[in-house]
Amino acid sequence: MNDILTGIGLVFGVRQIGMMFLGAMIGIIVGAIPGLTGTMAIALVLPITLYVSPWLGIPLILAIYKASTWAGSVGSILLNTPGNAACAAMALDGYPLKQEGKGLKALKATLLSGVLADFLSDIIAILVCAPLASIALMFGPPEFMLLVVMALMVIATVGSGNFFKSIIAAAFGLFLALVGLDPVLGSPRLTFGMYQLMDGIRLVPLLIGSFAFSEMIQRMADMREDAAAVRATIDRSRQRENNTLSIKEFFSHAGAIIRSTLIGTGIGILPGIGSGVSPWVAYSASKRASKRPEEYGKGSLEGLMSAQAGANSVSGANLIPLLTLGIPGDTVAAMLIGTLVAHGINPGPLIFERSPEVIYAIYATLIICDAVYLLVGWVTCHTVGHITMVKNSLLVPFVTVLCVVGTYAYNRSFFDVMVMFVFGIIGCGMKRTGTNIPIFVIAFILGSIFETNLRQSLVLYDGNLLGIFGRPICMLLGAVLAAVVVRKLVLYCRGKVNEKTGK
Amino acid sequence: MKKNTDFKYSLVCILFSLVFLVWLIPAYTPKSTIKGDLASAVLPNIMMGIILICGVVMLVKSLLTPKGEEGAQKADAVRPGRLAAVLILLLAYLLALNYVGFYVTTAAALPLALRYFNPGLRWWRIACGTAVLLVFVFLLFELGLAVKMPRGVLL
Repeated sequence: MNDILTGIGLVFGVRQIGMMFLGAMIGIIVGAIPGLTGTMAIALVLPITLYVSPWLGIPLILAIYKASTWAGSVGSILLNTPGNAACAAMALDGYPLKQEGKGLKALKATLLSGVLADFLSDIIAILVCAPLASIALMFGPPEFMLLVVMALMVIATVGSGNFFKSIIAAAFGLFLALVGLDPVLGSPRLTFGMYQLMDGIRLVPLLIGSFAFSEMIQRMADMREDAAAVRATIDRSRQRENNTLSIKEFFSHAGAIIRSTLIGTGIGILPGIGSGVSPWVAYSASKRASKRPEEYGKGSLEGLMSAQAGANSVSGANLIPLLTLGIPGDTVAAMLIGTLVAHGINPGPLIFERSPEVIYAIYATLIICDAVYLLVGWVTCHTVGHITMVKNSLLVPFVTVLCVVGTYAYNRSFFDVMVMFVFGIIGCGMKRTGTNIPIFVIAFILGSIFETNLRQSLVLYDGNLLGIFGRPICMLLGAVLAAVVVRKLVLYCRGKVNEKTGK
Repeated sequence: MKKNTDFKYSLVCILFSLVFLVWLIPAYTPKSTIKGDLASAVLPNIMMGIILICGVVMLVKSLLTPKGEEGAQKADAVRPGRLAAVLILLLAYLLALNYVGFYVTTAAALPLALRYFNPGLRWWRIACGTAVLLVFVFLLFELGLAVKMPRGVLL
């Protein structure tokens, strides 16, 4: 009980709640502007979180994440211009609703369903984390090594994008993690004579370069000088019911929201898949189960709320592999690891024993953030459309400068700025060629875990890695890994057969 | 076109991995003398080997793909000249940061960038925007977080 109260006390202060409000505002602004994402915003604020207490930085990051997931639907609903693939699901029914004069109703519906889904997903994460962590305490080096391989294979096979490109991205990320001092010999490896690489490639320049700076390079290269801002307004309807969502309306769709939440949570637990896929899966499931499927795609409130619930429910679930195993489930979790580790907090099963107040603080942050972004979103609902008017041509130069400032501030190193530039080019190339950047980043973070555990396993088993399959958990993980690979091969062969038979 | 993109992508992957496998990894990894331990170069070689194999598979697939299966990627067509210009200018900005300092370089470069991408924007608005950003950076980073921006090695 002491640990719970201590944990809540860490985040239940004026400054911490203030940071959540700030994060919610940033998340809504960034999420609403087409072309900007919450991931980009988090990458930019990450260096700042390293200078403040973790209990100011983590609430900021989580609030940006949650609020931007909702705010991404603003462009979908008001402009029919989704900012990313996930938000496209909200455009299917959101934009028709706006055309019927129910734009404000649609925004409020997505906000409420998003917050409820977020909250339920957080509760599931809280209930599931501790039992999973107690299982994870039985893991040794062989189990962690296999877990990393399994996580990367799951992302590569189930996530979006070309399979071989995903494997290449994962291998490249793992390779880059090997740069620095050899963990056993202590000698420089792949540093090319540069002393700045002795500690390896730093995470923050890589993150800012891959996500934010690469996007700015791409936009500067593609920007059309005559692009005009499209004004997205919410025209207040004279009919009150078009501007509000009644309690009866909300609860009549509660079943769909809960179904979508469970789907999103199940998807969110799997590393690397998350928010891109879950709104679509939730939307499809909701349509199949609906009593009025013919309304979907024509302004169905149920469809809209299901898609939003599917998107928002991923956020809590993504933290499950991070907190229990120390394996980030997506890029935001990867950035959270950066913040936690910089403050001496190593996520993983041991933290539940050694510093349980940290876990309870994170749980409390998740719940309080839901309330904060509900409040901020509700208040800004009426005016959020104006944010979408900001032109990319104005934003891009400012964001570019902020990328440089943030990277330099991280370690006061000009070398890091050049690393950011290099990864900006690499990230731009990856986006152009459809290569999965999240798997690259996750593989980079997991690389050192993988190598350390691999080498420890080899020492344990005198160089014979096959010996690890005598351990029950390794056998199970190996079976899952084999099933993932076999499934991929079967689907690939089936696709080839279908191509030949013309189906 | 998709086929061309995958073909070039796979060639780049193959060349990149070969350079590392044949030259850079042997030259820049230490030799291990601890019995039973994995040699330092093994994992880098495995990762580059995976990239090489995937590159070769993608190359073969792209060569075997019939011509009629090009994907609709015209919308993502790169303007290489413009991309190169953007990269060169960004590099120049970053190098200038180091030599001339953040505030001087940004005060010069940001207005030019804003004017270029927004030809109709008035100069006083550009000046205000630049000033707001520089003041924001100064207040947050230098005063708030005690992080001094580069002053420039030449100044």
